[in-house]
Amino acid sequence: MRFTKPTILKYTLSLIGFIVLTAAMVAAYISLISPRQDDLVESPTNTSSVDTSTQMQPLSTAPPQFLSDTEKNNDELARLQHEQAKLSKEFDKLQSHLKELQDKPSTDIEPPNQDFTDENHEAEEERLNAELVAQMDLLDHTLEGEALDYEWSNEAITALQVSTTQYQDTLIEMIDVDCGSTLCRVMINFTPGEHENSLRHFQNALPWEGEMFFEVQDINIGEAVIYVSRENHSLPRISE
Amino acid sequence: MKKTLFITTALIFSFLATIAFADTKIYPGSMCVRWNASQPVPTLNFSSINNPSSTAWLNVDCPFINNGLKTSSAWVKVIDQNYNLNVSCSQNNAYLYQTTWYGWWGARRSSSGTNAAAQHLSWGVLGNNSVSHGYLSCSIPPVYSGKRSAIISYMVKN
Repeated sequence: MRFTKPTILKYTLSLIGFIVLTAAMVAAYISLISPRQDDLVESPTNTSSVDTSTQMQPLSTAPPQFLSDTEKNNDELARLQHEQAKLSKEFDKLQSHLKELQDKPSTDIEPPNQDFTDENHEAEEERLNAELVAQMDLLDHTLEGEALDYEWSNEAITALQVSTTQYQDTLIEMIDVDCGSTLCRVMINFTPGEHENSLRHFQNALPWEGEMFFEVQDINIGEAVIYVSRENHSLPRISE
Repeated sequence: MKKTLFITTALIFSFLATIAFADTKIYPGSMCVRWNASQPVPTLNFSSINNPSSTAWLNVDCPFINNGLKTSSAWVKVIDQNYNLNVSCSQNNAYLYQTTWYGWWGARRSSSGTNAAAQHLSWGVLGNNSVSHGYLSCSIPPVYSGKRSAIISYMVKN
């Protein structure tokens, strides 16, 4: 028989499997017998009405034919007691380690959104603003780059002009509008300080169900740029 | 074989991650606040908010929590009992940087028909950032033949 590499590997794996299986069986056996041994030796509830020495008596005074078995059992008992003592020490160690962890101050745990609660706040806000500027660039480029849908574009521009006309004398004045095939860019003037009402009116008057993204540079100046998506389209978003 | 195993593992992990991080919250209509003092004073019914006025619209904003994740979906449960007018809402996110306001506003959705049963107005993904604040902006029509329209509750999933 030739011991090639695959053969050796196969036998090694079989051997490991055999060892693991045997170990599992031994562990199962120990777990089955250990409660009975505990009952005999330590369980105060079971020995409360029975004298322990009396209970152990049959083991030491067993007939000769059972003596070897008794010795084996005693050896096993001693071994298990030793194992139990070791496990008990290990358990104590783990408990003290757990207590150490619990006693650590909670500031060790990073709070969510840490960047917005510490001194990095301003830097983070600047980063977010840069993202929003990039978002507007993306919308502009999309509008300029997309093929024009003449029919929809004309309809959308007319509808936007009509819908904002009803607020023209009070709040909104449309300065410029440009539509491609999936979105429009609308520039409006509104009464300074009335930005919220103006944008709400604009949104309410929008003649189709479109998503909006807007920028109001300064509420005291009264100018806004609004991007509106075509119905059943989403506005493009920058990936973060 | 390795490739298949890798893809399967990746899919399982992404699925588990989706479950672990999905955050759905449902708010009662009573969380909504009217825009200003000129709006009708709302009344509550099982913590839903309704418009008791027989003449005026009730415009409210209904805030929701931004937990730093993208809004993946949202709905609002409404009752529309006005035969001529509809309950309508939009899902909004707003952010102020120095003097500049930015906003993402979802399409405005309106109820259809007139019914004492609840209707759902829903949205998909909407833009935001980790420090923007989110709210649904809703308009509840006036009472019609003694019957009030209402916002029952709303849900936002991140």
